[in-house]
Amino acid sequence: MNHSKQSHVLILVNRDRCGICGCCVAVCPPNAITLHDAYLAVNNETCTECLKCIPVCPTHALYDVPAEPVAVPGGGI
Amino acid sequence: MTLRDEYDLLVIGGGPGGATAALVGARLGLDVLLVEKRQELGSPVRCAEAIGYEQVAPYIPIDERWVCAWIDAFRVVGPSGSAVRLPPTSPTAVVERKVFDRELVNEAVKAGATVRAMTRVTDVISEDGYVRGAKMISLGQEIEVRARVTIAADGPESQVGRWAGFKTSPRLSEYYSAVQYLLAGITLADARECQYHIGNEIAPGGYCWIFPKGPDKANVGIVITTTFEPHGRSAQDYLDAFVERLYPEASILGMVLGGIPVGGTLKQIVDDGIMLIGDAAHQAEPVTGGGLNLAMFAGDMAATVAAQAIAHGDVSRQALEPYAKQWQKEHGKAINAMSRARHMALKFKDDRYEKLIGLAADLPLSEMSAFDIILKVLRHDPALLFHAREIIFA
Repeated sequence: MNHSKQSHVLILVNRDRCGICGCCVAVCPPNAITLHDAYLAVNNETCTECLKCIPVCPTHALYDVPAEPVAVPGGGI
Repeated sequence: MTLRDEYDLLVIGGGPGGATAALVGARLGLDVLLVEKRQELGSPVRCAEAIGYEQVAPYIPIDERWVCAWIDAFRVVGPSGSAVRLPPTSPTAVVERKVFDRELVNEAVKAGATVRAMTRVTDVISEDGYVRGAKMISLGQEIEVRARVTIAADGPESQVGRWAGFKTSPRLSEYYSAVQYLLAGITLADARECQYHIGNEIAPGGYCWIFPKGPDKANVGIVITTTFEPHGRSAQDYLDAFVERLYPEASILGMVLGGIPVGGTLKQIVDDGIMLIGDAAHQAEPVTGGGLNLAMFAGDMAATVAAQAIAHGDVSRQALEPYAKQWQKEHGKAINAMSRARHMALKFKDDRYEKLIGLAADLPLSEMSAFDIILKVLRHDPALLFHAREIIFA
């Protein structure tokens, strides 16, 4: 997996893998990820595309896709 | 039922740190409200569940309902299977955190604190640079609760800390990515022994653990440092390989995940009207990532200082600073040294781990003082002295 910064990506959550633990929330510099009680939300408006959240997730539930519309594995944003 | 709109002390987060802060605050006569965003206290836990039980005794009586296994020894296993058995540094038990957390919070309630689950803080109340409580949604209702002092015990992802202006976000090199299974249907050779498995292929920048929760059950987990992970694999990928090798037939009764800041305590942990404790303040021990006992010490210290500050009518950063000073003196310096030790170990190749384990295995550890052990190890691996100097004097 290439974690280098691409221009304009969206961070998506694979809901089948996400354990809503908040591991990614802590490392997100602009605080663009929010852990609700049973739901992880990524705000791609405030996301700076640093991609720190991707390797740090214990189950690799987060992934990036080009910002253009694409087919979304695992259920989407 | 209805919460008041003002308390002396607001504690945000119902883990062991927050519960201890609420308990000690209430014992000192403060009006305390503890809020927890989850629907239930003690669930889900993000923990391998080993505790030093003598250290929790001042806060909660030891109770067989939450003790799963008493621990006699720790075994450190190297990359090619060599091992050394070490006595625990303090009496240790593996506990059922779901029960332990709830009972600890109940101790706070018995001491007079008010506790409310399913209450999510949405922002702090800021006035003249002071934190004066928090806005929250409690059981579905938006409310504001004012407090003279607010203690943020809201974990590694602390939002309260961020809203209050603290720099809480860890660097990836100072952060463990962690996952753990509760395995059943396994046979443990020694159900009173905790195991650590180290090696760059097993757990890059971290380790795997096997903590018994009875004769046929164990927490089997992993922490890795993702900046030392070369293959693009997740913590779970490494844990799955470890479990496949050791317990291919095991059942998985549960899975917990999380991240642990291990770069040492944040430089600033108090500000006007607010204090950070536990993982929110990065107070875990950096090598193991263990933070339960430390969070409880911090909760005690913070609540004690908060009570003094409230009694004197001054909750400024300066008045709350004794908590940070005491923390630094009693634990912070040691934690920073362990952080440097962690960075030293991160650079080790597997043969270095093997050599150190082989060396330690040949020593009569139970008859030696820590100083003797250090001298002996340094004689066999003098290059460590160079690193040790960095650890002790940096």
